[in-house]
Amino acid sequence: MINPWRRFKKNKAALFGSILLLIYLVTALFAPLLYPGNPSAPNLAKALERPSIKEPLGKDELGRSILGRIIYGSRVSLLIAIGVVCVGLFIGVPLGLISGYYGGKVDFGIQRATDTLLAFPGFLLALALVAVLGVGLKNTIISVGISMIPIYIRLVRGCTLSVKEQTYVEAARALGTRDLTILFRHILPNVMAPITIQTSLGMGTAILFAAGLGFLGIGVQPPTPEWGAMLGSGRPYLFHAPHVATFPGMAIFFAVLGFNLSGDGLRDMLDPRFKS
Amino acid sequence: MKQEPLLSIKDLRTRFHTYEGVLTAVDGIHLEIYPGETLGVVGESGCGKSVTALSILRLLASPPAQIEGQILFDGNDLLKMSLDEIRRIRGNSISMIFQEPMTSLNPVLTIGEQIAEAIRLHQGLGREEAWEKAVEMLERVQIPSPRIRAREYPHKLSGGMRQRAMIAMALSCHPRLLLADEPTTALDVTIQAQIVDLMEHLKEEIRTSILLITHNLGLIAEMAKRVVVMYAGKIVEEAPVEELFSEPLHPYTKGLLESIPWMGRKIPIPRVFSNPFLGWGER
Repeated sequence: MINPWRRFKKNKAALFGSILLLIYLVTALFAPLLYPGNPSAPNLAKALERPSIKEPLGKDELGRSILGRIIYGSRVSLLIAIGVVCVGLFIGVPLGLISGYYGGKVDFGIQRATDTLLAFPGFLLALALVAVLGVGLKNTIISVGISMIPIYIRLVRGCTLSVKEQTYVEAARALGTRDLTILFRHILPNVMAPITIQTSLGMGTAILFAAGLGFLGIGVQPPTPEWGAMLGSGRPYLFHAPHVATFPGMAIFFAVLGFNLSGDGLRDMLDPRFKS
Repeated sequence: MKQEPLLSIKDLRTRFHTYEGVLTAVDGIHLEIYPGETLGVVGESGCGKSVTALSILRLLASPPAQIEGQILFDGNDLLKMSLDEIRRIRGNSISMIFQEPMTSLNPVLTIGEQIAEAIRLHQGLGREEAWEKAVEMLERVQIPSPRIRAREYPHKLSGGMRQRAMIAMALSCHPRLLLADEPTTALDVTIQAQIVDLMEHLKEEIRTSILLITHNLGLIAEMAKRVVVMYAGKIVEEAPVEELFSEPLHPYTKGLLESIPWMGRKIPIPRVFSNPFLGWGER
């Protein structure tokens, strides 16, 4: 077996993706150092100012620095991405394990519920949930998170079905190991690879969904700098001040691209079928 | 033998309900294992040997499996126990070794962790004590530098070493009965001999009874005193080893014995005994 890290480095797209991710993470972690001012302080005299040397990305309709808001927005989107996959992981993974391991009626029940959730397009489901729960950062995370749960359930269930047939699971049962121990100590670590990949890809999707909600004005509320909301508020000025909507859009694009390329790279790295 | 049997199976029937009908894998067998005894179970693939072992520990998923009859262990019927009671028997009083050492250890846990897990579960020892005991067990199954090996993952061990680790795991709680399901089939001949020696040795030390499932008659001759021959889910012959080898009664047993090649013997093309399970779906 080739060293997985070397295979990852050989994969140019994955390398590019992880560099994007690194930039994104550094931006989010060190936002106050990168932009010392207050990104939410308006200055109407400078509204819609074009990009210049002093203000490389220009100003928005309230005269706030777009660069500053993108930098701080990376924190919001990172928080959303992490929050969303946590909701998906902590609810979806145990349900998937139980569904796959026990089978029978339990499996039937969980799978029909999953079918119901999967019947809705993911974004539509998140939209409907926001309509029920209300707007705001927390509700955005919960809504998008719930729309991710069925994906994890299906993924983990499928993997569990194959892992539970392995002799080592039977051997563990023959030793009298408790079901919970078998699920979380013997099966879970063996299905970690696909979960990791799905989590990386899921973070990209989460950012996109949250930005979509923000764009529609029902996600994170102003004045919190959120990329989707920035894109939405720049839309009326698309023709005479295109920078207001373009740069947040690019931020979303590169963040999602970073997660997706790294996720694909991880899959190539961890999926045994790609091992030469 | 006037002793009470350690395990006595009465009229065990294991059926699988499938979409194509009911398959009877074990069809009313009776057998008894006495303390300290090694009972050999031979038969071709698919004759119900492994299903018998799995039925004893109730490791078959049910449905589709349906187990009937009586399996008395120490006078208690294993088939009537609650899941919690049977779980306490598994690995503690009755242990099992599987055929495939390459896949019967969890690839993501170290050898030591896997052995210590069983010890902690049944003996209520702390993490460190259990670890020490695991290392000691590895030493007893003659794994060199057990302290280092205990920290390694299964992929670093050869097949023979893994089977030793499996034996260490199965015997770590000093079970009174060991179900060995083709313990040497996947190993090469020299390693087989070592594993057999090891099992013999540990059997004396721990004084455990063994139900030895195999289709290797050489192994039976070496380890078992009594043999039962299974065919199509039924026990067709039961005899002390010497008798079985000198005067096999059932035609299937004769066929089985004739199938062993030895040097210098010209073997006529043997009669083919059809597998009664083939085509059972069409009936």
